[in-house]
Amino acid sequence: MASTTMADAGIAARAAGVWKVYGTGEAQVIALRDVSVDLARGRFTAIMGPSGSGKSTLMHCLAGLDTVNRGEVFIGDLRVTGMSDRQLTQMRRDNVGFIFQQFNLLPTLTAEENITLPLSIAGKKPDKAWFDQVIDTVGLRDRLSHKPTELSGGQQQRVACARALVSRPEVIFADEPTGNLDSKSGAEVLNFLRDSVDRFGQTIVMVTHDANAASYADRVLFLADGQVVDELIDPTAEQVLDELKRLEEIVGSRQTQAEGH
Amino acid sequence: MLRATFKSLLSRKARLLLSGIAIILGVTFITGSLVMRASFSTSIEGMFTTAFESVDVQISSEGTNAATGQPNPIPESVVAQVATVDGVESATGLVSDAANTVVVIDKNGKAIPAFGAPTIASNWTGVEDPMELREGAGPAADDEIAISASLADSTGYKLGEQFPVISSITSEQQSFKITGIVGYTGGRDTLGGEKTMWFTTPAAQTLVMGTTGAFTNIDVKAASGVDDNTLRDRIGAELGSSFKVQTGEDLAKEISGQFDEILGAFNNILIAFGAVAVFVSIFLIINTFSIIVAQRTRELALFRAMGAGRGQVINSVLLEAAIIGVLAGVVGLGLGVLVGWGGTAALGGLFGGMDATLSVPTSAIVSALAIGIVVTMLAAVFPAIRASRIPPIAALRDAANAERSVLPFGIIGGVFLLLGGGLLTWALTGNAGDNRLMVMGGGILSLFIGAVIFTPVIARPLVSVIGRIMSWSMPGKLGRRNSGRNPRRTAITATALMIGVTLVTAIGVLGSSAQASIDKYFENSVKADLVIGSAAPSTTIPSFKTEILGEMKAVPGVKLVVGAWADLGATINGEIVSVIAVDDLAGQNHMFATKTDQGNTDTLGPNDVVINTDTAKAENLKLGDKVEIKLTGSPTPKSFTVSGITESGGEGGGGYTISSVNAEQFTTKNPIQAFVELDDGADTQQVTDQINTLLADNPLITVNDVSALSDQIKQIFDIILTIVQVLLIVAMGIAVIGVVNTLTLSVLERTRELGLLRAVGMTKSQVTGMVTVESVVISVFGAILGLAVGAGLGIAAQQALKDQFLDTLAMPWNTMAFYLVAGVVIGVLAALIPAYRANKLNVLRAISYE
Ligand SMILES: Nc1ncnc2c1ncn2[C@@H]1O[C@H](COP(=O)(O)OP(=O)(O)O)[C@@H](O)[C@H]1O
Ligand SMILES: [Mg+2]
Repeated sequence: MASTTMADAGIAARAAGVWKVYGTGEAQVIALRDVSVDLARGRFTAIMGPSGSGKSTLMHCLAGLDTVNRGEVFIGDLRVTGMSDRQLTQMRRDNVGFIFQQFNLLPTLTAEENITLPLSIAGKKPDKAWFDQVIDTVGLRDRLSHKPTELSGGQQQRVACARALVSRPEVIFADEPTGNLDSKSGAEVLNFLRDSVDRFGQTIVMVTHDANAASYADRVLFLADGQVVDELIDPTAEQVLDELKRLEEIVGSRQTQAEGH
Repeated sequence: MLRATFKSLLSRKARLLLSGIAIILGVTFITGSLVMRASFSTSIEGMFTTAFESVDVQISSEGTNAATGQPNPIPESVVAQVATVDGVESATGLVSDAANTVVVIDKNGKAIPAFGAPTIASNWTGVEDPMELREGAGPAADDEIAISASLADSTGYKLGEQFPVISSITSEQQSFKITGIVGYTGGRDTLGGEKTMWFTTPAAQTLVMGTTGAFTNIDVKAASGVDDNTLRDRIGAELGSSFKVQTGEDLAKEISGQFDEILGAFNNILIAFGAVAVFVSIFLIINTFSIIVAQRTRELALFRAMGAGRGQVINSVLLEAAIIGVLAGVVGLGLGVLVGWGGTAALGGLFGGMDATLSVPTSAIVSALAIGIVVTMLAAVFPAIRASRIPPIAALRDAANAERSVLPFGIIGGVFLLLGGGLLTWALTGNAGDNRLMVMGGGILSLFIGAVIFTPVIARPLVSVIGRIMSWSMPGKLGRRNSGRNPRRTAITATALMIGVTLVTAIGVLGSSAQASIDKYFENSVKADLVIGSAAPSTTIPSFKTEILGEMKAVPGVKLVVGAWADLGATINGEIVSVIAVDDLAGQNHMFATKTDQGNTDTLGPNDVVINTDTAKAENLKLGDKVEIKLTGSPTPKSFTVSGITESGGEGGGGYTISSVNAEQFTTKNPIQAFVELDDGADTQQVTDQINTLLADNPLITVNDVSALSDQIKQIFDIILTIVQVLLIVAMGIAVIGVVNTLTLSVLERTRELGLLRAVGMTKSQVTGMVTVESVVISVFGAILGLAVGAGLGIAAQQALKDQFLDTLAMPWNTMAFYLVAGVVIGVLAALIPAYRANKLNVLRAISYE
């Protein structure tokens, strides 16, 4: 079967010929046009691109939060496209981890309860050894009984990372996880993400604006106008910045052209 | 600012509707009562105006006979005198009695008891509007009778049959042949529920007044062109002050006024429930506006940042309240008018199909708008002030609801609770003297208010305990935590439910205690199973032959029979006193659980008299004292010796009890009552039937089952309780809306959290579970509080009325359990809409919420 081959090929998430269109008629926006990407297992992939280029949309489609208009999406060997709401919910619970830019935590739960939330929702107990390892990696041992309001922004984001990691999902999707943090806390979070890829073989897909953040990734995909236009392997921050600048020029010239007509 | 307010109102249609409904219900209740009262008055006046339309002027006598209590008869000569007055076309003498002087004997040969609508005996003066002859003709001979269709219907007597009656004046049974059945215009069987029989004038005079040649009323027809009022005044001048002269209109007003009073009491109850509904609504509105303000924090802060003053912020919130208030007032008024009209029509059915005329009094319109606007705005004041305190900087912060202190509630509520407790203790320990009931009432009220205010303080711990039962899963745990997130909001929401449950529980405790007290009273104090005596109150007391007492003793299943005689004309020093004779004093004391105070209370010699401690004290009598009693039948007083004194408090035994050998000198030489105790396991119905056979010649004497009597009394309590509870359920309905409202808004507030939960894999049914748990926790919290406070208040009230008649406390466990279960059900139902909304939420939009 195709799915077996995919797993063998070490692909954690895959988009094949994906189209995503919002609205109809005049107001129609094509957020993704014929996007095909394979995200290798155990790798840290960053998605970059100008604002409105479709980064979040791509991530949402890959994570089963949104449906596609055309094409197919896979997580591991599961075909996400065509799943019912119930199947999607279960897939997210068991195979996907999320880190959002903000509002990642439930204010009524302690840090520990927030971390084990997806497991408790599934009615599962966390693996004690793994849980301890995750906690120690994010350095939250002495904060476990605190409520989110008693934690700093960086600590909150690390709790969110731990939550994403503790259920050992196929992929962790992070949408600008450092967007709301100062550079020091941001670096802490990024280091932790890098660590979990290197030490635990976790697959991570991260949407970001920040060239420095992207430089932590193994691979950077560049989106423009809903299409994958370029990629960099093992990039440095400077390379990313250059690439972004180049893209912006292309987009800018396209717009001037469009206006010229 | 105005524009912004309107826009924010429109964007919150659901909230507007929900908080509006509460006020609408309260307003509907109150205006409905007012409209019903006005409409009913108008309708009933209309009905009697129709009934008295043919009456121009009517004359009745002003005084009553002191001995019989009947109105003084009007001599025949007065009719002729009236006829000579200028402007009188004709004057007709009428006989009419509604005091049950003439008792109807039913097909079983027993008198029809005088309960409910009156049975009227009158003389036939021809068919007059609104009468309609249904069958046959009016009575022509003195042994003929016409009866109203309502009377024919209830007794089963038909045209041509013999109709037996007993007049308490003549005391003998007579039969009349039914020659006519009478109905009223519009196909009605009765005018206002009454049953009427018509005799020839002489027959009616004999039966009602014991004499011919006199009338109870005179009906006067005015000559054409003569005004009724003028004629009334002329006749009044002619006859003088011993007669009452009224126009048909006066009569209609007088009679409908009597109905109005009864309705007034009923209406006050409805208005009281309306007040409860409005009271509950206040909590709902405070809650709604608090939430609206919390949600608008950023928007309001932005106003402030742009330079809006505090006053403007307050005005913006109050304006919103005023608009809701006006709308709710108008809609409530509309519904109230419908309800009032429907209620009048329904009540009209009880009065033989009275036409319902709608009448909307100004008071209804004014109170609808006043309640709507004032209540809403008052309730919005606190949230408005809170809104004005929002600092401009809040516009830049996340609208996280800062935890607010519950301390002020604790202090104020605590003060009320202490005050109430103090007053109650003061009253219950008997130190409050004559003001006991008032102090008690004040204490109960203060406890109630205190409990309401104190609720937020106990919300967190209690909600946490209740929630623990339900937090076996993560959604349950989240629901429980959510319900404890904002103790003030939870408390206010629960309070609305609590008030309803408190009232029904307190009333339930009183009701079940009343029933238990009645039970105990009949069980412990009255050993008699059957009471044999007069069926209907009348001027002469019916009696039966002394031999029947012996025959009753012989009936199988009868254990004990005590006969009782009464002398209505007995005097001591010229003053009428109650003198009773019994044939078995020990038996009588046993039946009524009367205890001995002093002397011999088991037997009576011919010259002995037994009194109770009250009489002894009042008349300053001791054991062995002599009492001179003049019995009706003896020319001189006879000397009796006080041979025994019984304790007061039991039934019977007041006045002077002597031996039945003296009954020869009584007004009635035969016994008027007998008390029968049955063997254990005897068939009450069988014994009753046999005793009835013995009494076949005494139609006015009936056998009454005492347990049936206690059942009847308990049934009345049951009906009252049911009505009260049904009405209070409306208040609880409003509370349910409150729970729905709070949860819907909480769901809206927690959009991001819900999005997050759905993103990390919470299923829709788990979301429903979470919302349901929160809802159930809040409503069970309200129900438990209500049960506790209601039980407390009910017990306190029972203690207060302990010496009145509520001596036994009984808790209505079943109803209480029902309300607890109802709390759970309400919680589940209230969660439906919010859970639906939570599930409809778009996950993506929720997490990218900005
Ligand atoms: N729910 C939506 N409805 C309509 N248009 C949308 C919606 N979400 C995103 N878009 C549009 O799709 C395009 C891609 O958006 P997004 O994926 O959020 O971009 P990025 O995350 O790269 O900034 C944008 O033009 C955006 O306006
Ligand atoms: Mg984005």
